[in-house]
Amino acid sequence: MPAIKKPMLKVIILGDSGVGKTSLMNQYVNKKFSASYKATIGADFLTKEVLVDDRLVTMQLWDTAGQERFQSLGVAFYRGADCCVLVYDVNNAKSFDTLDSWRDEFLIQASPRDPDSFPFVVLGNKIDVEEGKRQISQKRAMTFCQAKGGIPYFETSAKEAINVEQAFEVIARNALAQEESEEFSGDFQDPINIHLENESSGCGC
Amino acid sequence: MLSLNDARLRWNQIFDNFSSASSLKQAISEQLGAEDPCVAGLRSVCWKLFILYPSYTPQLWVPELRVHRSTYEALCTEHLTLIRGGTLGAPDIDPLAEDEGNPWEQYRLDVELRAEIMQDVERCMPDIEFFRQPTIQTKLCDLLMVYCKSADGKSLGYRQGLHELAAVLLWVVWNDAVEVKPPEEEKLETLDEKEDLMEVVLDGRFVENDTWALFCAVMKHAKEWYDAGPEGQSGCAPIVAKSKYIHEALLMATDPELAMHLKALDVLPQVFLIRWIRLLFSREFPFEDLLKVWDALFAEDTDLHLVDLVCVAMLLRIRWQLLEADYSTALTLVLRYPSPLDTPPATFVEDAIYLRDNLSSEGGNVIIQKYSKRTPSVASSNSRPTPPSRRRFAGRSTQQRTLSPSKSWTPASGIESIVQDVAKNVLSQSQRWGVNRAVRGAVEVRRSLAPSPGPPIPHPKNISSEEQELVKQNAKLIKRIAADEERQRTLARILELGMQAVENGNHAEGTRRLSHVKECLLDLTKVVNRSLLQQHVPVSLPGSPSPPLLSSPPIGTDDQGISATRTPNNAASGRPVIKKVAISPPGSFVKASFKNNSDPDFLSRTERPRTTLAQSSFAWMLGDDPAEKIKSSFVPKDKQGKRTGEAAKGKDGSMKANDIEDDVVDLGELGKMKGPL
Ligand SMILES: Nc1nc2c(ncn2[C@@H]2O[C@H](COP(=O)(O)OP(=O)(O)OP(=O)(O)O)[C@@H](O)[C@H]2O)c(=O)[nH]1
Ligand SMILES: [Mg+2]
Repeated sequence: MPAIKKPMLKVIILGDSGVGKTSLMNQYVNKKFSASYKATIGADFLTKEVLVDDRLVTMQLWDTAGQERFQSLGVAFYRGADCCVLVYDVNNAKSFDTLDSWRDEFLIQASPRDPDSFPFVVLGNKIDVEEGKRQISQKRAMTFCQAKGGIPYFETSAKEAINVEQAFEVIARNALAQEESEEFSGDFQDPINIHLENESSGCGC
Repeated sequence: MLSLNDARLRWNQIFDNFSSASSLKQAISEQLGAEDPCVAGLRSVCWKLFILYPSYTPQLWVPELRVHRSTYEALCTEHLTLIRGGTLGAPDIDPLAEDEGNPWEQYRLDVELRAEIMQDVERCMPDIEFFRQPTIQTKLCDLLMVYCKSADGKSLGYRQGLHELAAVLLWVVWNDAVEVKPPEEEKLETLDEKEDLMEVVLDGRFVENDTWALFCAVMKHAKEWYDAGPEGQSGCAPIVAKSKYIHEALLMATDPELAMHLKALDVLPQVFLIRWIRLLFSREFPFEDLLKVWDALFAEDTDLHLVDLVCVAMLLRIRWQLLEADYSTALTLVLRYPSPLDTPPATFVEDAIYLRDNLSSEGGNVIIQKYSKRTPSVASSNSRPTPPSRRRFAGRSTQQRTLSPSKSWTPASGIESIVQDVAKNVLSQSQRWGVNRAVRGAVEVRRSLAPSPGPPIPHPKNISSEEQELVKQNAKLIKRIAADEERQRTLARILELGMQAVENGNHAEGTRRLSHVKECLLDLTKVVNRSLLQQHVPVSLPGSPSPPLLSSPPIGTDDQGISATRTPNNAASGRPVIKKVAISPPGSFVKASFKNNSDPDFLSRTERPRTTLAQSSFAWMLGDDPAEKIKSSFVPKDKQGKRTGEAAKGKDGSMKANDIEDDVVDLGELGKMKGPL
């Protein structure tokens, strides 16, 4: 394998306050759940090295404050993101209803080259909570994700560590694909190069 | 809560030992340790005196305190009765009417607001048992709700972080409170003058009222830090402007090397300053330390203007670690601020005060040396900012640098000295713009407005307009910095191409570029000839194949090596270049299709070869992660603007959006999940 610069993947986690963004990120990075995370003020940052198809990549995970709207971090913060994770709480319908505006606003702020293919991943969190409390069915969430161009959807629990690893694996994979497509459409005009690249890095899932 | 006896001792500790508010403040600034009036005395009383009731004698301010208490009672009745299950007005109102006058609608809004606040209160200071008590959580929630619904905070509403400011205040007031046995049927107003003032002030029944009053006083100045700013994409919150100002004006004035390093790393100041400032550092220090920081802050500066410089002092304290840090390490340092083990926390405020009076790199150096016993690398008798490149050159042979090109010009040494010129140019940049002077000037004005000793007579209006002016000036400056950075980058690119040409033996080509760079460096008004960005400009001029010999030095003096590298070729800089579109040999990626991009910076940045320049000795010009920069430069300014060549973009990964067929994979993942399918 030629010596390539180890990719840095910028992942931004968005969603209403209290849906469990901080808990999910900590479950993924530190493998633990604590009932004592404070409300996020502004943003927080963790990194994690992961292997994606035998390639070592560094994920820069940006946890944001749910109450914060986009003005306080500024456009520059969102620029250069490789993947955006939208989190809602399956027991809170309002947090699901706002997903669409989180997504739209993110696209405006980050203004990726090709908004239609920019990778999002939706996480429906807190599925460990008793069944009677659930407000958004899996079907409803999946319909939404399909309508938005086939966004991968996971139902998670940061508390019970359900599906967290799997979700972030897809997040890493999609972020890497995004990073590479950006890089290549930036450096090459020759479509042949793109095809070659696709073959070597195509995601095997 | 304190026992009456303990409270009495502490109360006397304050009023017997200090004759005035200023002597009390003086004592705080001296950091007396166990003797500190906030430690041995009553912190809540000190804070009240500092930020709420500047008159020292209790007889004078206790009446005000009473007014505050009853105001709060009235506000509670006004704003909390509904949610506490009081009467819901006339029974014949349609509960579904979405009309603000409808008490049901108001009730619904209140329930939402309370849930929002409670969500944060429950997560507030998780490691302090005090805040886990339901009665305390209710108090916190009530007072925040009253604040958000009444005149003080209505325009703001509830904002995350307010809960933590209120929590610290509540803790302090509660700790000093005493249990007063209420005399039968006694009402607030009927307390007569003979009563014990201490018991009135510390009366445990009014913990929430007094916390609210303190909170409103803090919020008078903290409010704008929480202001969300204008709605919509172009808007940017005041906290972002403030963060920029702290980084690009204040830190730049005191430690330009650090300021430039953070900028080069692309660490956005608001990313950490939002939390530092909004919470008044409550997450950056251990709780006990935090209280000491607030003691010193409130004692010194009722308006909380000093907060900006406390941020600078905190950055200076970790400047050596930051200078060595890459992007991730730097962010980790500022987002998980290392706790200062061997210095008292109040020193951050002390440093801030020093910087307020010495806002210059000399002032910064004093603070840096104070804690590290190290001096920033540039031995500066003047306040010359240091470029991040300085250290990288330190290891190079001085011999090479001083080689006179007229004696032995080799491409390497010639280029080296041009690189030196570039570095030198950056060196004097901020000085030329008078960053320091501008900032110092503005601070002078501010200082003259705010008398330092004695009880402060604040001029909030003047100060804030003064500050606004500063922010405006700063914005201009930042624009200029950005334009100049771009110029530098283009020059760096031309330089790079010139070096390549020289390496390939094409000396004429190389020299043409190098001399243009040099001219541009010597004459800042000279327009950069972007045609030199072309990878291979066909040689069409009678260029000398040998290294240029020197003649007719350009304007200005040059103390570095080459005094001029003028060749006949550089006349071309003024002329149109014959062939704009280069012949791209295989492996060169000149993107003709990108030239139409509306962003004028686009061409030069996208053509920057990533590895070679990044690996070169002037990689610092690009910031530490050129790849990152290049990527963001692809972001189109207008979002509809799809470029030609877009089609080449790969729709590869099977998890990619648009490929709906592929969510077989998702379903597969879902299959593993808990819960119904
Ligand atoms: N039962 C359950 N509770 C969770 C789960 N994830 C988070 N929580 C709880 O939900 C609350 C909010 O979690 P956070 O992770 O702080 O939420 P957040 O999205 O980061 O919130 P903001 O920082 O305010 O934007 C906390 O009390 C968590 O303990 C989960 O998977 N299951
Ligand atoms: Mg959070």
